[in-house]
This record gives sequence, structure tokens and C-alpha cells, in this order.
Amino acid sequence: MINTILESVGFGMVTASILALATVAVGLQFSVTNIPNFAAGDIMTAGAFAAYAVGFVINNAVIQALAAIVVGAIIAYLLNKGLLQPFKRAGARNIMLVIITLSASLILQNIMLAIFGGSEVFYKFPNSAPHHFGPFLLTTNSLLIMGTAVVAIVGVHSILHYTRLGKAQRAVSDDVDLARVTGIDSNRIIDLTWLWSGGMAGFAGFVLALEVGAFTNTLGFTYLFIIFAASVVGGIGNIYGALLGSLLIGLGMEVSAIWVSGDYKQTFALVVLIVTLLFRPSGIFPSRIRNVVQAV
Amino acid sequence: MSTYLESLIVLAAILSLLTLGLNVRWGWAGEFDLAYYATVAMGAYFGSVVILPKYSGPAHLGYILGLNQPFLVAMVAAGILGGVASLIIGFFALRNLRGDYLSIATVAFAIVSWQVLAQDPNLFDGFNGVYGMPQPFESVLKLGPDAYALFFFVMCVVLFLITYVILEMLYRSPFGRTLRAIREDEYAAAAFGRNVFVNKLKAYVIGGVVAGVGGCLFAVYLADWNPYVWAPIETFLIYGAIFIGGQANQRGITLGAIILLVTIPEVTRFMPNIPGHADLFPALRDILSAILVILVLRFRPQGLIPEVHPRDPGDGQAAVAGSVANV
Repeated sequence: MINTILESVGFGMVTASILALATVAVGLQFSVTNIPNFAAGDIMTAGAFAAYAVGFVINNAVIQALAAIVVGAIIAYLLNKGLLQPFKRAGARNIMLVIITLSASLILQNIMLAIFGGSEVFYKFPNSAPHHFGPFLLTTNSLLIMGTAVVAIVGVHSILHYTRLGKAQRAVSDDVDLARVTGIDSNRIIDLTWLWSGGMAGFAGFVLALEVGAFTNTLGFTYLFIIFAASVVGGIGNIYGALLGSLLIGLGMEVSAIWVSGDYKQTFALVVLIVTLLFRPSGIFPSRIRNVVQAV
Repeated sequence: MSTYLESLIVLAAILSLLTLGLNVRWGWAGEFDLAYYATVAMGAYFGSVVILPKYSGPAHLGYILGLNQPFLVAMVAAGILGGVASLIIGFFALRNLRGDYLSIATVAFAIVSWQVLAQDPNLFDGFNGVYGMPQPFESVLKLGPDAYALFFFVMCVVLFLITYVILEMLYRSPFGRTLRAIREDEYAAAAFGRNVFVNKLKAYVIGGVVAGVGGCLFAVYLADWNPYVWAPIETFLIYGAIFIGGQANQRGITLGAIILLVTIPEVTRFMPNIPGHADLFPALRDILSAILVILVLRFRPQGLIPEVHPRDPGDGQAAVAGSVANV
């Protein structure tokens, strides 16, 4: 029994690393722009499909990952520039912007359905054999995924804390108007944030598709709510909370699968999301960004 | 051709009825609730098992109840279930959450409901769903297929009209005005002594009753309700109908439902099928719908038929109250 649990913890670490990548990407964009993005999951799917399409030409994981990053970044940038900013300029309320991201999600999902069809696709990488590491059972892919996630997140942390861009992002996140008064070009910062978080989401989509094996156009949309769960549990808009939230949700999903049927893994995350929103909406690490009750 | 038109109008009546229910939540009370279609599905499932006889299939599958009751009983039961479920969901969600957080929690709830209803084999027969619901009243009336189609057509239109008239009366009632005041500015409404939470909850429950009744009617019309015929995302298409037609205006909403939920699917259904691309036209249909919604929200946010702001008899009083507030 204890072995089963430990093995699940191993799987949970992998799930958590992917989730952390995605959650940090979504959380970064949310804390700077204050728009909950329902299309974030579909940007992940687009990244996964970009890597798949490139795979027909060059079967090289690094180039495919780059393709996922570029496509994710471009879509996120266009979503902000082409759809959200015009509505924002017209004075749309936040809930309108949510509706626009939902529409964008529907459009993206169906563009991918039209192009790639509804049946499952998978990458043509050789299957990697599982190895035993102490009590854990992990494949080479899983190890690579965990390593990349750690590198990416350390990178995000460094940029946020040691560069001018990161400082400006944190300023915009705290108070857009105040940031603007102090001479920060907040529009440029917001554009860069969308590019960055989109690229990271695209990459997370590639990694997620790699881990789950076969995927369709709804890969990211269903995953989005696990991301929401991780970010809400950790404290919305808080990058470090997002990490902890991902770890809790990722481990929880895998370990809960020992007792409840594996079909309910995602249900577990969603129930945690609902319960947290209802009873501790500020999460474990409350952030200063805004009060949930005044979120209209 | 006339039977085709008849079936289109039946579909339009049912889908418009469903859209009217969501409009109470969004158009009147201003809550972006994404659990609506889950309530419709609950009504559909529950109504079906009230109509169907006791389950008699393989033991590892099955559905609950199986009461073998007439359609009217099932419809009332589904309406009550929709209302009670909405009371419970709304009690927690509306008390604790606002705006985008409400939408995230409700969409999560909708997906959880789908997963449980679809995957639990003994609740509503899992992925098989419930099917074979008999045609309402046919066992009593014995009309035969042609006359029955006409009867069903009239029944759906009458049910739609009844819902429309009741909701229109509510909309014009003091309760409807209170909700609109809350929608425009809930702090102001609270300052004037309106209980924001209770009024929103009432709107949520009314929407749920309509969803339950409409869901039961929809399931009986299809004679088949399973996880493949409903998805949480469909709530969004119903919102699309509301945005296009005109939020809070029932005439507009009926028009929106006819355009987005009946006309666009019907038109794309008759497109030639391209071999190897079976998903192309359904995909194009959803893309088209979403683009239409974005365009309407951008360039005509009030919708095709905007909400009329009736001069309330209490306008004079409101003016007085306004001047007091300004002091």
C-alpha cells in the first residue's frame, strides 16, 4: 500500500510540474492584466498542435517545443491586441472581457477541430522506458519534464525579481495607474506579459500532450480548470502560491486516484476549486491584488 | 416541407424557452452563471426517469427511480428539481462570489456534474443515458403520427408562450424592477433597502425552474438524453443567443435563439459533407457563432432588439430619491 502511495506521489510530482508551468503562465498574465483568461487552455492546445504539425517536418523535441512557444506567444498577443484591448478601450466591464475570452476559446478549439479533426493524435517520439528511482517509477520523459519545469520557474522568478521588466511587471500588477505615473509604459509591459505567458502556456501544452500521450482539440480547455484550481488554492495572482497550489493539486489528483476511480482525477481538482472559492477564496497565500468580493 | 417547418418551430420553441430561463439570471440579475446547462440536464434526466418504467437491464448499469408517471407529473417534478438544485447552488455561489469568480465556480460545477452524470453507471445509466421516453399524452390521445406531430407542435408553442407571459409579468413587476436596480448598481439597491442576495437568489431559482421544465421537454422531444447530447459549453451558446438578441428583452432573446440555436445549425447541417472532414462544418458553425457574438458585443452591445426602459409609475419617486442621494 505504502508503495502504491509513493508511486502515486512520483506521478503526482510530474503532474505538478506540468501544472506549475501552466499555472505560473496563467497566473502571471492574470496578476499583471487582471483578466481571467478562459482561452489560456486553448493556447496550450495550440502549442501542442504546433509541435505536432512541426513533427511532420522535423522530429526534434527542441524545435517542436520552440514551435509550441512561438505559436502560444503569438496567439496570446493577438488575443490581447485584437480582441481584449478594443473592448477595454470601449470601457467594457471585466465580465465582458471574460465573455470575450470564452468566445476566443470556442473559436480556437474549433479552428483546431477543423484543421486536425476530432480523433486523437500523438507525437512520434520513441516510448521512453520507466526507471525506478527509490520508490518512484518515472520515465526519462517525465524526468525531463520535471527538470524543464524547475528551470522555467526559476527563470520566471529571476526575471520578476532581478530585471527591470520584472520590476515593471510587478508595479503594473500592483497598480496600473501608479505604474503609469512613475513613467512605466504599462501597455508595453502588458503586451510583453501576454507574449511571455502565451509562450509559456504553449510550452506547457506541448509538455502536457507529451505526458498524456494522445490528445484532441479539447486538451487544454478541460485542463484549464485544473489550472484555475491550482491558482485559486495557492492564492490568485501569487506566483509562489501558484507553485504550492500546483503541487497540492497535482499530488492530490494522483494520490486520490488510489481510492477513487481514475476517471474522477479531474473531478477532484474541480471540487477543490469550488470549495476553495466558496470557503477560502483568498487561498493559502492571499495576494494583495484585489478582493474577491469586489471583483466585478 | 410543412412537417420540417413544424419540427423547426418545435425546436425553436424549446430552445427559446431554455434561453428565457438563462435570461432571468443574466439579463435581469446580471449574474454570469455558467452552470445553467447542467440544470437543464438535471431536469432532462430527472424528468425522463420519472416518465420511464422501472429499469430492467443488466445489473451493473441502470437508472434511479423509474416511476412510470405521465409527462405532466414529470415536467412538474423536473421544474421542482431545477428550482431546488438552483436554490442550493445559488445559496452558496451567490452569497460568496461575484463576477468572474462566480463564473469560474459555476463552470467548474457544470463540468463536475457532467463527469458524475456521465460516469456513474447507476445514476442515469452512464454514457448510455436514458432513452425511449414515450410521446407525451399519446397513450391517452391515440392520434397517430401525423396528428400527433401537430399536437406536440401546439403543446411546445403553448408551453413557450405560457413561460414567456409569466416571465414578462415578473419582469414588469416590482420584483423585476428590483432586480434591474441590483443589476445596474447593487450597492445603490442595497442602500435603498433591497436585499441583494435574496433577490438574486430568487432570480437564480426562477431560472432553474425554467431550466428544469425546459430540460424535461427537450429530453422528451429527443426521446433520448445522454452525455453526448449535452456539454457544459452549451451554456455559452445560449448566452450567445441572449447577447445577439438583446439582453433582458424577451422578444430579442427569442429572435437570438432562432438565429443562433436554430438557423445557424440548420444551415450548416445541409452543407455538403467533405469526406475525411466530418468535423469541419460543426467546427465552422461554432466559430461562426462565436464571431457573431464578439461582433455584436463590440458594435451593438445592446443586441438586435434592445431592452426598453419603461417609464415606471414610480419615476417621480425615483427622481426625488435621486435628488436626496445627491445632497
